[in-house]
Amino acid sequence: MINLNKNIIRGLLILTFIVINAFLIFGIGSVFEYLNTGADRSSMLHLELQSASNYTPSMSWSNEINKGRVIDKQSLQTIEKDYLKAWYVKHIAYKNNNPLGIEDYYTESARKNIFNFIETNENKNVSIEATTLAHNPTLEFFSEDGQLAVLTDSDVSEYKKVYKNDELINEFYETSTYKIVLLLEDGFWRIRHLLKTETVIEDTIQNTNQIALNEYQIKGINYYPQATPWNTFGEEFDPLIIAKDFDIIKKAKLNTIRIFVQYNDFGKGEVEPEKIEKLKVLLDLAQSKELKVIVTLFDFYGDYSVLDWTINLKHLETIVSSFKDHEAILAWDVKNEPDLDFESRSKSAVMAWLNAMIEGIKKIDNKHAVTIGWAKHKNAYLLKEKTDLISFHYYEDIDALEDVYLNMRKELVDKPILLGEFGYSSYGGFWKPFAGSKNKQLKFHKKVQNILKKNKIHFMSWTLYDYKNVPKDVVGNLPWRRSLQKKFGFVDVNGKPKPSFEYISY
Amino acid sequence: MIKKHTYPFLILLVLASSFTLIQEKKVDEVKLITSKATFIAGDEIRLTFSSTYKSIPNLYFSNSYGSSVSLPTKKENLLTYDLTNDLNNKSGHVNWKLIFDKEKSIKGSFFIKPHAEISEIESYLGPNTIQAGEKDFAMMVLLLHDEYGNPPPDSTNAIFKSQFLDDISTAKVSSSNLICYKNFYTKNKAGRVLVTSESATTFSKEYTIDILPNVPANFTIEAKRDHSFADGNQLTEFSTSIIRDEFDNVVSDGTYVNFFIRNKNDDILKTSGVTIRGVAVGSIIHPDHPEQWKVKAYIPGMAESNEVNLEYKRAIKEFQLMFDKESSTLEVQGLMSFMNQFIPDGQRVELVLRKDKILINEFQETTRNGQAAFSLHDQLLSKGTYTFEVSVSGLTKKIHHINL
Repeated sequence: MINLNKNIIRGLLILTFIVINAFLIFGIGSVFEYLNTGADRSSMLHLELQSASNYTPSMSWSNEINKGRVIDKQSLQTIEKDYLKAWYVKHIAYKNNNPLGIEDYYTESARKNIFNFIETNENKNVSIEATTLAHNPTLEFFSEDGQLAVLTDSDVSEYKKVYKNDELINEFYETSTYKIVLLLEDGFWRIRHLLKTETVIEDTIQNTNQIALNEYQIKGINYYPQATPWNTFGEEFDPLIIAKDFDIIKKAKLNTIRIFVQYNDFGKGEVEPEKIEKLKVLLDLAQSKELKVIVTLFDFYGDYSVLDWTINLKHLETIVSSFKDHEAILAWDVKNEPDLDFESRSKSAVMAWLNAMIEGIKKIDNKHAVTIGWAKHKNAYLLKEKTDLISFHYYEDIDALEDVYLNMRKELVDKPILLGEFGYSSYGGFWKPFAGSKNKQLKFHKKVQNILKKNKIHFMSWTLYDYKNVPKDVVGNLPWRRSLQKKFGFVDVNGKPKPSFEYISY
Repeated sequence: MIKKHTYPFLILLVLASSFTLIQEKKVDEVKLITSKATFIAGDEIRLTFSSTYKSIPNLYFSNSYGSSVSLPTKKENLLTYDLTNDLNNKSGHVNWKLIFDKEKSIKGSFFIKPHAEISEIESYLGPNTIQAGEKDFAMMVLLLHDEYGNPPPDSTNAIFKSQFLDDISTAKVSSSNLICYKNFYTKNKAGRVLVTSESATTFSKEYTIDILPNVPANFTIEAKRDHSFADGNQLTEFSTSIIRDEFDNVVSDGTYVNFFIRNKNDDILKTSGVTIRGVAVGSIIHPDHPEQWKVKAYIPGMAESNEVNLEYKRAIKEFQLMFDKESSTLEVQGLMSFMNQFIPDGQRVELVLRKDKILINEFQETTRNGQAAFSLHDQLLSKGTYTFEVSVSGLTKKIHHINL
């Protein structure tokens, strides 16, 4: 009895010892971790201003011959680089009301004007968030000694958001023409004079050129290769696997796939040529199997900030201009479920961004439809004048689907409507027992296909395969959500069609 | 009676009700009252609106350098926005937008002209050294400013003046693209051009353009020496004519001239000099043996001279060889120069030693007081016939010695 008690006390002592130690180590660990956080050392060097691609509005130089010395390509590039940086630092300065960097790109007499505005705006608690999307400069004059240049920058397209007391009071586009005198000082081309000669304010850019789908009935599926979900164009990109998958899709009487282009993975503003090549292989394969493709851009992107726009547009321009004539393209989906970011990034920021990106696509490609894959059907009306195809995702009560669709049909009259994502997970395991089963999935798709057939709805189901792994960026870290996401496929992890496969199309 | 009153009453009723109808229909209105669309820098800039709205709207405005938002002073239905300070007298297009809320706004614009008077000239000249001749030029660029630093409108006149020797010339130039510029072409004569500019009553400072001589043209050289003997002691001096460019300007001091000397054996010797007032001088020591030199000068890549031939005669006529058996020493004596003076110390004497016609060794000595000696006691050890062959300044003598 005494022995037993002793052992219990001993055990308790050892346990407390271990627990106290664990706490101690954890405590020291967090102190250490805290001390190691903070500004990145590289930020001390102001390297962020040196990097090439943080401001990339479209620049189209006119070929007019200037009145002074003939300019060489390199000098013109240097002028362009410094001129754009002058715009960039000005945007940052007015956004934060902080003159950092202005001195590098404006001469002493020119910078005073900017400092004045910063001071005024700071006093009034006004800040202006702006970016320019397009410049059309002409070199008017280049001095014989190469130290002075005059530009006319016409139709500079500038987007502005005006905040007062941290509240957005207005947003609009301005199209202006400037005359600029630049001086080469200390190796920087600095702005000496900036003279606005003309401006037009537009509330939004108007572009209502509509592209019809011409009776094409979309019967489609969202596609990722089974081994690399959410990473179609990664290291393991394999044309053989994709070709086989396309055969399966084609045989299932589907005619369209929806794929995803990841913004970071493709290289942001500087899209990697190798990624373009992979996308081309995929599109060529689709074309050879007579499948149309909806390309979803900006996957896993979530910034939307105005100063990011020029990089976004450069990304988009590289991809869209590479494939605007590709036969396999059916439509460009600007972004997957942007309405999920309404709360975290503000609705106005997301909407302005979508608007600008649609413009960016339409400027290059006027043949292919543009759509937005809205997560919620109630948001599908947003920007409906600008998109050619209304696309929404539906994971709600399936019995309500028909009503939802019919309502939308009534509201949108002739506009094609695409049910861009829908599906049912057959997962019914440890984390969510009795939630789903292969049988329930079969019944779900049978029901949906009936509705689709009856109303001739364009559809794309989620998704071809069950996946072994789902990256945690997709649904987060919670095991029940990840398990659920793994089992949405019509084909199981072993490559065998599930019962629902029968109702993959009608 | 009743009827009599009924009609006017009815008419009144209709009128009254129509009046209220009009009143009900009346909507809020806002209108720009300021009719001025062009201001001049330095003016007070006020925009006045009449507004029946209760809310006080923000006025967004934007000029060349930036944008801001302004609030009005309100007097009854008049909203007055004073932008004088915010726009800071900067010229250019100003656009504005009166913002009631995100949906409701009106917009417009006005123009601020620069002040008519030029009060500052900012001038840039480059390059400030150019070459004499015809093609080269320097460019002067002017940025004209009013008192607020605004560039004047196009076609503002500026006057450029330049002075060269007795000539003062004036040119009138109109501005375009915010600048005025003029090219000052070079002259045939090297020198300084003074340049200045003015606009209205404002003057710039004085600038200097240096016209430097163009590239040198071909020239001649001559050689000067004290005598023509190859004594290895005196200097021969080469000098150029005054080197000029094709426009007769003396080339800049310090122009580098190379003198190349080709000797009998086609070896090349080199000396050089830099010009002072167009003349470059290079010197080289006389050879110590008879020679024939061909001399030509070059300014690399630009100009060359004629060729000059020089001949050097032998300085030594005769010498004697004596072999002292006791000390095994070969003495070279009587080395006399062209006036029977000792040849200068340091003349090279060469000895080739052969035994039974087979080369054993070669030696060198230098003279001192017209003599030289070779100590050979450790060379003449074995029996045989030795031959001593001595040459000085291209003159050779032989003696034989039999060792027993």
